[in-house]
Amino acid sequence: MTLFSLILSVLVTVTNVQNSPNGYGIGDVATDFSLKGVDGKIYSLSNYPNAKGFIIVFTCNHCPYAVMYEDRINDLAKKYSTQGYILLAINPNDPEVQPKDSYELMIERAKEKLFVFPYLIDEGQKVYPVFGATKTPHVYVLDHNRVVRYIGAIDDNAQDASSVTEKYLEKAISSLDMGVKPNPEITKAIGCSIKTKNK
Amino acid sequence: MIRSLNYTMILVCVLVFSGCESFGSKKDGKVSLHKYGIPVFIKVPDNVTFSKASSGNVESLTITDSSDFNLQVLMSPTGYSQLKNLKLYHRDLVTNNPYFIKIVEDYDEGFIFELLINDVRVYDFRKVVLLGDKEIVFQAGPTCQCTEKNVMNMYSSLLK
Repeated sequence: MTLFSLILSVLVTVTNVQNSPNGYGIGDVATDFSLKGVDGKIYSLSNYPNAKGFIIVFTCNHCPYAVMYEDRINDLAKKYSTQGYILLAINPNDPEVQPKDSYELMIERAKEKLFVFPYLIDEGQKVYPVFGATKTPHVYVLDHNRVVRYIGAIDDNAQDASSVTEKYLEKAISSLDMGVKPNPEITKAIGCSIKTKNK
Repeated sequence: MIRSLNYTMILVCVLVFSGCESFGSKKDGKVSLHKYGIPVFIKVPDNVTFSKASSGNVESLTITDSSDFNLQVLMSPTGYSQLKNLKLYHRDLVTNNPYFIKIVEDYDEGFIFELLINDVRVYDFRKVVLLGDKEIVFQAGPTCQCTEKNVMNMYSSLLK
């Protein structure tokens, strides 16, 4: 393999997995945020001083990919809450651009699907650009020091949970528990683009 | 004339400074939340931690101690002019929660309620205050897995 083709293949790989050109990368420390949940409470990372880590899922009501993952996200929240990991789901979409993602309809959705996790609205769309999320769903795993350890997809099969072969998110958390770097640390988030007036 | 002017000035100063005192830390054993942007006094345990945040037009203050005091105070613009209606609005929100079980206690300005989440019984409350064009809501903190006793104690401390 020539040096040129080697560099090219590295560049292609990086481009393929790079989801967050302007947000957090692996190793960055996430800053705290305060967002309103569907239960009317304000949630911040600092509310959980004893958390072992955080699973931040940017998701929404309307996106078919996000809908396909709803039950899986709920199951992950149930599973990991008992292990000290806090799952917070954030709807990053502008409801003026996508009315199905309004706060009122988030409340309805949480009720219909019996969400056990805080479902938060990114009012003013200030949080998702800081993270660099581009899709729904788009996942960030933070360790207990809020250091970003994993970015990307939940698993490798949005359409069919029973056909998943790689549970990226669960694998990343297992790695954290063992004190090693997740492998992979970044995967490509598959889903709908975040809806904003700026695009 | 000069003497009476001096007395007046002293009196004014005393009044001004005693007025400022109410924006300090305590009044009648209650802690002032003025410095966090929330114009109320409440009773809280010693050694609590205050954590202020804001989200959109909502000002939030979470007050916790090392044991079981975990209170969140929210202040935001309101569309209500009557406390009764504001309380009913919050009651509707709560009773629409899929995990809602029942109202445990009902008061003029709030209520205590029970939820069943993942087979775990937790308690929460709302106490509402109208202050001009703002509403202030007291509730259990977002991370509180509150017991009934825990919530009763927090609610009572807000009435003292």
